[in-house]
Amino acid sequence: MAKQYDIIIRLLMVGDSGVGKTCMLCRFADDDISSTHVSTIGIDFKIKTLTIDGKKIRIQIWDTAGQERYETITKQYYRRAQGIVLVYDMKNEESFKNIQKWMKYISDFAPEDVELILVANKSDAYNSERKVSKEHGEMFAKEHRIPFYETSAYMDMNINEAFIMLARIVMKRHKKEIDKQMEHIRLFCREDSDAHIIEKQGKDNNGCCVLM
Amino acid sequence: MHAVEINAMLRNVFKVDDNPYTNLQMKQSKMAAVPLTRTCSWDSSFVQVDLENPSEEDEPVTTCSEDPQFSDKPITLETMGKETFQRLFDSDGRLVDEHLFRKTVFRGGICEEVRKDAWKFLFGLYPCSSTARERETLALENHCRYHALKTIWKKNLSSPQYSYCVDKPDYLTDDSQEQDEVFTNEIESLNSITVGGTRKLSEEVKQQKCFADIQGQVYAGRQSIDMNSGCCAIRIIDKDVPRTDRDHPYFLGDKNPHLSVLRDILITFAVFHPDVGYAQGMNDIVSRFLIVFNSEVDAYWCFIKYMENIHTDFVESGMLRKIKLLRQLLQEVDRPLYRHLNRCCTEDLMFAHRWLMLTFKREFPFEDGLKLFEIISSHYLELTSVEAERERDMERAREFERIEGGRILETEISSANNDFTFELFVCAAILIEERKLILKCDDSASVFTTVNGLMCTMDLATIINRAENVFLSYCRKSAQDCFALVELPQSTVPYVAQNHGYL
Repeated sequence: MAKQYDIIIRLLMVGDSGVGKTCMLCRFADDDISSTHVSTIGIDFKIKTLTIDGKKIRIQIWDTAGQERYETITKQYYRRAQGIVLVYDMKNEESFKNIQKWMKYISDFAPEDVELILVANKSDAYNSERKVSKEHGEMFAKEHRIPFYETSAYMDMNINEAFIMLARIVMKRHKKEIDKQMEHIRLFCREDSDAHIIEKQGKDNNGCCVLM
Repeated sequence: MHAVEINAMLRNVFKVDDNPYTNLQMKQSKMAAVPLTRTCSWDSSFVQVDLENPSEEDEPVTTCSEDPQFSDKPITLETMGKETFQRLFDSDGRLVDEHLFRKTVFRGGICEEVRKDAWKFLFGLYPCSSTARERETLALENHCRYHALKTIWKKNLSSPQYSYCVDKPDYLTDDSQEQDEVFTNEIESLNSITVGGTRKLSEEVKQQKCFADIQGQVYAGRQSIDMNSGCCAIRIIDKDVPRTDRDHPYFLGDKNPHLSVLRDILITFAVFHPDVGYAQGMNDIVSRFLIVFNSEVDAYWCFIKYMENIHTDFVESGMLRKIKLLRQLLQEVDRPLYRHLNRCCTEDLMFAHRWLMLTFKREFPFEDGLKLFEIISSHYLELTSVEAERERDMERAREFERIEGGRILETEISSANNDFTFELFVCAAILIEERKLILKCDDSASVFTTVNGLMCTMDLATIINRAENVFLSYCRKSAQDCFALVELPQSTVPYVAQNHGYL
């Protein structure tokens, strides 16, 4: 069965409870936030297929519950991620402070070469409601050398841009493998362009498509 | 055990008595005559597992395709109606036959008209043995205790020590006075307590109420409270309350007053139960109680009763334990499916975590979800219940006949793991019901997509019927495994036995 994509990349959403992770994800994957106004329990999942630079990319996005007591469950998903979206709510200072905590988890549990972006969600807020300035967010992002976006899942602002940016930097990080894979598809797999994700360890030499 | 005793046991098991559940002939003829409803008992689909032939291991305990109960005829649920419910009570208002009550609920849930009253017994808010009069006293006591508890944390929260910890959330009604009056009718109804059929003088009622108030305050004063962890809980509660069942008519609209009621219940629980606190998901459970009871006090105490035995499921270790149990169960009832999930890297079954936390609330439409919640909460079919023991007994007897009384057996041993609650069988049933789809998946993403795609597409009756079959098959399997324990050399003893440390 031929699949409709060339490359799979795996992203993860982390951040405090109620910052809008699920809403962002639903906006991006389904372009709909109406049905999603519920808290995430444990872990959830959505998929989006799109074309970047002529390559068909399937983005798997794992969504996590923000509450502390779900952390044992959610931490198990860090190691599978190639890119992580760090989300805070610009109306909630606490959620911005906690980005430090999420960064710590990432360095403890995610692969070393994981790519990150920082997202300040709910940019539709009135100025009076804003608790974290754009400069603060930018400064933090700059310090850690990661891209920064202010988004609004509600108004559909910058959502696609943020996800696609992360997808791009993940692809850049894995460029070698992707090029090899695309070449492989071009040469051998026209009929059956299965993209395989193979764990890092020692499988690079067997001629399969590798992305990790 | 002597052969004589075993014969006596067999006679007992197959005795034709007035109980339809042990009368095989009656059951079979009944099945043929009536339209297909759930029978809670007899399932002819069971396939004997040949323990000495290892290739059989690749078959699930329940066969999916050749199951006669899954013919073209639709399976229906027999919902308990008003009359059936009322017939359960004696003249003093005692619910006489609790077993029958739970069995009836298990058969197909409760009709909406009596759900509110039935749940008070189902969840143990009132003992079944209580009279209507005793329940009035209990209701007054519950009312006063709850409000005394609530007063304590509200007072604490407005003190300078804690007031800065929590911002007033914007989903609350502006007038705090209004919140407290959402259920004033509740209090009024308590003021007109009837005793012995005649309404008491209001003065006397007032005195009674006054006394109950004092008792409530004494009770509340004795409860341990933790405001510090409570404040953290409140911040998360305030995130979750405005996103709880907002498409249900009960919570529709901006600043819906029921939201602040939901908030109060959750906070009261969290601050007075610091060992459990607040876990995301509790909001979904309390909202069910609140929608059904339309009473803050009843919803709170019912939630307390509900949490009594399962509160550990809401702390981290408990969540992990539960999902681990599901893994163990699936390995026993459908090992090939489990192996397949293992190959897809979803052997942790994390997609079922939410099913268990919220008792399938998001997997079915709201009404069906309520039915499933009450069917599971009936605890009619659990491995510790009479029905399971009967199924095991019958299987032991059959097995005994099969081996023609060969080696003497240890019938007292059961290898069933009693931690496998019925809801775990419902999870397994969903997976087995959809196994064809799941077997087509090849990675964790496709498994998650498939399973998420089931949301609100499953037929409740089919799933419960399947769960029941899986349950009964498991009972028989565990009974058989006892034979295996004494019959087989150690190397061929099946997984069940090894896993539960009987060797």
